[in-house]
Amino acid sequence: MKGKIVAIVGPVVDVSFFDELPNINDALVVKINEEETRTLEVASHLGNHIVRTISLEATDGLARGMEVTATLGPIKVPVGDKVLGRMLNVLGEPIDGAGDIDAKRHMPIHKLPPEFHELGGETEILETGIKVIDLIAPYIKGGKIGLFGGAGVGKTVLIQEMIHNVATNHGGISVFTGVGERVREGHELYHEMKDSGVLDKTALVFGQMNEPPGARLRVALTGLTLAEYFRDGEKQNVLLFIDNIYRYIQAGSEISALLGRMPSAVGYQPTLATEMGKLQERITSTRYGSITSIQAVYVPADDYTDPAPATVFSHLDATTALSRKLTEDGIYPAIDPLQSTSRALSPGIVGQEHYDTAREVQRMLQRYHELLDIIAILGMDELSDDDKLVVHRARRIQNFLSQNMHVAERFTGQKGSFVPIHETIRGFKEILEGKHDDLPEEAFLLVGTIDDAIKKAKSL
Amino acid sequence: MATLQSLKSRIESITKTASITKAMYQIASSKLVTAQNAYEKYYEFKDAFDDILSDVLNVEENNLFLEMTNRSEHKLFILISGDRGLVGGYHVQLFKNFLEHIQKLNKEHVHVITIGRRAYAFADKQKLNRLNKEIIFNHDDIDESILIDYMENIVKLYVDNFYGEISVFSNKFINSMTYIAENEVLLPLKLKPVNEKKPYDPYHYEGSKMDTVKDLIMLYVQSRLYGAIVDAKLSEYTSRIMAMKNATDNATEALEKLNLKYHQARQQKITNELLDISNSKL
Repeated sequence: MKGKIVAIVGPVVDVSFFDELPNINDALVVKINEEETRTLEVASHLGNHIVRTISLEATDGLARGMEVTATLGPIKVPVGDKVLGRMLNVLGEPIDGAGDIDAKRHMPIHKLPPEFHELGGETEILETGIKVIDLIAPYIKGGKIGLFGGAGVGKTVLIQEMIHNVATNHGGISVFTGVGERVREGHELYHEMKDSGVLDKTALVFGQMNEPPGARLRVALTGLTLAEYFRDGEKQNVLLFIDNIYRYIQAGSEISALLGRMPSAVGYQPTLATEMGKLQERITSTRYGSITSIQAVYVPADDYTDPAPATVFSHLDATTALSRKLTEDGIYPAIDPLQSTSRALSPGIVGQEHYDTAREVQRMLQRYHELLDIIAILGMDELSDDDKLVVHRARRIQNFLSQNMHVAERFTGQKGSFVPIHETIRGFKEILEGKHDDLPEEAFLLVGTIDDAIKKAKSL
Repeated sequence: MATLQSLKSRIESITKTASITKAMYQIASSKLVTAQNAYEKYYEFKDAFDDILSDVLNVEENNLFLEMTNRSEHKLFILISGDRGLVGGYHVQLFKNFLEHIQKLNKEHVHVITIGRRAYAFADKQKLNRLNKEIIFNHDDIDESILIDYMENIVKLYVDNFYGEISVFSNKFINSMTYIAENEVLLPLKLKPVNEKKPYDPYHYEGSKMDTVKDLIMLYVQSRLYGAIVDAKLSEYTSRIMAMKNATDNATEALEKLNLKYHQARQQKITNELLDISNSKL
């Protein structure tokens, strides 16, 4: 099936076919010269034998009248063991300069979500070794987790820490998908994984900021397709990291405007919820295996009611909210214990002790925040003795929610720590009980277990 | 926008707090004058009274209220606080100093009479031996009858050597910015006998000087306690004026910031709506 380019507007290319038309989402290939090709993806049929396509690569080099060949199917990417340890782009081509991938199987990136009867999954906690996450908003194996945060509050650092802690201990296969973020971060991640030895169990897919919107829109699907194959084809438990899902929406919005759709609330595409749903519903656990996905979500202008983060919210099992306020106070990871939630935080799943401790920590911090206005206006002296105690302990708890991280090691010079859940609970419980009221506040800042805090207090 | 709502409620609550602190400030300022008058009058009285007292005590045979040896280890403190909060560090400082003061003493030997609601609660919390079973309120208009009820018994207990020392612990006014917590020992008397002989004796007594001592001592204890209350009251007002002025200033500052944020959020919402409306013309 051959066609001819009739118009090129940025990443949108109109192609005219003479008789039969390619299906929506089919890939088309344009040959520029002997070596180079460009891939387009059909987005809509305009009538008059013209289809409107989105280019998945830069459109320079294309010209009107060039011949276009339909591949009679969506983009297919290599899957299976061969992609482990490799870095791919949206089309499944290697970009790490380590030669071709000779995979036995290729899978289309467009697929329907699993059927109802295929879904599975029990609720089991995924230990991250990060105190505040394990305590307040524990992650579920095979669940979907969102890391929300504005610009520069530490989403990527946290995701890297998670890769370090979870992927290293997890032992299974991980897929990292970089969507529209900095190229530098991908580079750093690649080398870090190489050094820590988890690279040969990881597949990396990148469609970063420099790529056209088509690539950024589809790269999430590419990463997901790899993960899906490991789940269903090889019956594995897979970790899928996506950094950053907001860029997926952003790319969709760019394309939506170029395709001439009318913008909806705050200028987003009218199909925002549909696009998100199509992607998120595929990230799920089946009875063959599971995908645990950790997605960073950029929150524009720290406004959680923005349609983009608000749409993502509804798909998640656990949300980890990063707060600018805490980064200003020097508390890292800057996870807001009052805004982060998890479906798993219930006595039936995490156990009564964990649940009670977490709720009590939240209650105390909540009370502390309520008192802050009073303290600012009337001063500490006006508080009742009970409230003073709340403030005293809440400040220690707030500091203890911070932690020394492995990925921050080269900045702080402090070794990172992995805190097991039972240690986390013990630490917070002891603070709540008032066992450590005598230790200075700073002792609790950026330490691992409660024993480390006691040790730090002695050296202060 | 959700933040608009929460900002609004915070602004409301701070405005309310600010109006309370402002009212407290004004009340305290208006009462300050009365308290200051009472304070000045008391010191005029005290000076004259001390003259007579030292004159009376300055007789050789007197040893009743001066004796320091062989006294019982029990000590009685009259702790004077205010009834209400919103006085800055007034109570915190008082109670902290009091605890420091009695730190070295055996808690069994410390007895207190509390004046004011705060001191009553404090004594309860610290499990001190409190003599008064009910709260003795420290009203803004000083009620002298409370002094009489207890003082007669107290002096008797002192004379019987049940208490080795009776003192008043309260905040003392220094100037409109400062006050300090101080322990003033009432009994035994610490007046220095005047040694210089006056050319003439200005006072004439009916009966002996010793009899007069016994009469005077009641007046002495009551007036000193009254003085301490007046003093504490004045310190309380100055402390409240300072604290409430600061609080009002802090609240105003916080309100300014919040209002700015609120209007920013409000304008942002309007702009977004405008953008939505104009964009959907496409």
